[in-house]
Amino acid sequence: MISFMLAFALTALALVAHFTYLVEMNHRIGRSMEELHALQDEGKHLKLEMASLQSPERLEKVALEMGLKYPGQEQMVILTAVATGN
Amino acid sequence: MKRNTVASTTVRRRLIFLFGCAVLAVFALTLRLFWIQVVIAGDLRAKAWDQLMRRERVIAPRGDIFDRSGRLLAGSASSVSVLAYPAQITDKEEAARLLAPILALDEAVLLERLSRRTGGVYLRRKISEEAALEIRKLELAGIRFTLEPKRYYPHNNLASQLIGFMGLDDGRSGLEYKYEQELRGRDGLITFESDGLGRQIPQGVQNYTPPLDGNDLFLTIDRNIQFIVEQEMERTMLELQPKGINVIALDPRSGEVLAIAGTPSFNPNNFADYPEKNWRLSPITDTFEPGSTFKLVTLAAAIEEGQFRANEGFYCAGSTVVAGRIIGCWTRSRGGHGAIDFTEVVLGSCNPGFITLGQRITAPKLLQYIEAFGFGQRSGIDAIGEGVGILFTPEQLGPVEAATTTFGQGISVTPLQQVMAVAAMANGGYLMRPYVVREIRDSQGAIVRKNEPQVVRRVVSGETAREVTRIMELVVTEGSGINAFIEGYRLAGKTGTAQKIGADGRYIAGEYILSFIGFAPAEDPQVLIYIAVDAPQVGVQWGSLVAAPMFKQMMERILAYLDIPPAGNTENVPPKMVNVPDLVGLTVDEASALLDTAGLRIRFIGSGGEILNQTPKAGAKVPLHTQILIHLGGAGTQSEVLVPALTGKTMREAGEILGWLGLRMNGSGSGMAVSQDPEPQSLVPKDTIINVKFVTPGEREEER
Repeated sequence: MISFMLAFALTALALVAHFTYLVEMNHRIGRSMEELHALQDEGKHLKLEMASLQSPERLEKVALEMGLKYPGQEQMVILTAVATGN
Repeated sequence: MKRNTVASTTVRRRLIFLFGCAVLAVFALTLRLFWIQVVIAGDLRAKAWDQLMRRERVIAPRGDIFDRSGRLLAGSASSVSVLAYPAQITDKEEAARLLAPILALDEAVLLERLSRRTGGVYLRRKISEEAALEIRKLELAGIRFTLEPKRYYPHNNLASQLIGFMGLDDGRSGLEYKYEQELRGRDGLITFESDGLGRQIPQGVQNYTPPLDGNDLFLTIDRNIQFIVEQEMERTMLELQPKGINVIALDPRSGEVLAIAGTPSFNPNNFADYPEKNWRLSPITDTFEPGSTFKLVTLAAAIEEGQFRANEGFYCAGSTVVAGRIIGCWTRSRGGHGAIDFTEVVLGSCNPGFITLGQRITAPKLLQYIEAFGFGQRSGIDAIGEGVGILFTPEQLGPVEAATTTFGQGISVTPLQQVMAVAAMANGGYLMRPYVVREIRDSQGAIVRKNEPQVVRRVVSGETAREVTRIMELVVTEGSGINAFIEGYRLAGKTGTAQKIGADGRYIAGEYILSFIGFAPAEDPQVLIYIAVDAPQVGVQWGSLVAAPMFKQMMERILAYLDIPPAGNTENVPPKMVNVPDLVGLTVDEASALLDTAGLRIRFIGSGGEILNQTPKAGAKVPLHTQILIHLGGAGTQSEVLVPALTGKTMREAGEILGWLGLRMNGSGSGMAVSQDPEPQSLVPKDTIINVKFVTPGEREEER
């Protein structure tokens, strides 16, 4: 009789623990989803920032500030490739 | 002793009474239970449902817009919208006062919204990061933030007229407007059980319809080519101050638009700061009289009809008479071209010559060709606002009208129509349908729709197209297009200087549209560019001196960028050398003519009617097509120099020019010169340091 009651109590405890675990997991999923959305949005912002940093207008400005110059006509050499058969 | 007992019958009666009450109570409770659980159960469940369930729109992310190489041109990301819950705001006046400057709204407007009897009210949607931060710092009760997607344009003005812009919720202009359906996607819906704070109850009932993400647009535009084009346009706007410039760069084989822009333009990130007329894609909406670039149409028609012979002689007296009206040639003031052949008619852009060609073709036939080349109709480009232009109807086409039509006056066309017509000559005779959207893909990258090159019709034969190209090449190597010449490449081109029509229908004196249309490489055309500059306020008004050099600058960089190699082996051929003529003391016109014949190019420094100085000096031996810098101005001794105007010049050019004049430069910033000290035209000793301030076009726009 006692052992039966013990088993019953233990099973009940296990079930409750299990459900508690499930609820906790669900909460975590909810928070992770929110975090995911926030990160995805941040990713979007970063892509936009990257595009703007790579914009030719900015690159030219930075290059000129760094002292780079446009090549003169004399500096450009045209190479012609010769096919070697096959 | 007597016992005090209660009579047993009384006790029993009381007990029965109590029992009766108990039974009644239980019965009442059971009834009530039955009432709640069964009778009004449905209602209660519905009410609970209402209270529990929340329905929210799941906003579909808007599709992005990319250039042909997948570079982002327009994208969406979250931004903050400000909400107020009036019930929670105690001091509404104070809140309105504090928020008004940050939100850029009237205090009264804010107060009205804060005083409403609704649960929540938007104060301002999609504000900037800085503004959001400032409001957060205030820590006002009852002010909440929510995130909403906002459209960002990371390249600011680049291709802004084509891409368009979004209002708060939908596209208002350009491709954002035209492709609203594809870009928007479809919002989803989520219904879920929520707790008191509005959070979703896990494992509660929920219903989820996922959103359909918007589709992405991949354009035919190349961001770098667009940049090259727009940068050159900006420079010319600064230097010559025209009313506007239109440019289209196209692949003539397929009809794909590589770059398209009109200045003045705008920044789509704050479109409201610019006048509405800057928003439209002027290269496709604007109509104008094209002038000499239209002569190519007459030429092609004449060749196709067998009425053009390159070596046939022609005499231009400076004007000709058609149906009693005198129509002049631009060489009128010097007595006409004289005795030339029909090739020189094209190279020298002789109006009487073209009138003759038109008469040989006959007016109705000419009109047929013009329509076949796509004039008077929409080209069918997938952008909004395309203009149609105006042609003479067959009934209106008298001899005078036909005559002016041959040289592009008296009809109105759009830059796009002009481009597609010449593209037909570049690609072997086919009129193509231009397009700007290459592909539409879904958010996973799968192709939803793809645009392929489309032939509208064949206009002329392959031989005719080749012959036109051959003559256009000569225009660049020997004719008015000489300033477009690029070392090592075969180019085909045509200049144009068209009179402008005023609002009263008469030609405006002294105002012209200077244009150049050309493609390269001539032996295998891959890029076609058309430039039209509207009435520059500074400098001479000739297509050969304004538009042709712009074409050269653009095409040079584009060919290098596209890795298109020069034709043939130019290394072993020594460049042809010519003597630099003496120009000092001549007028600008005389100098231009002399240099044209010598095969040299001009660049002016400073302003004035007389030539003070030239570099290289007279008698120097230089390669063909070298640019001669001509110094215009007043008097000055040898040890003193007139400071040149450097506005619009790049740092490299400014340094070069000053160096040649014996001056030194102290430059600050980068981009194009906007101010200098000492001022232009001041007389300074040699070796003086000129301070020049440079700004990039973006900065300059903000200063306005």
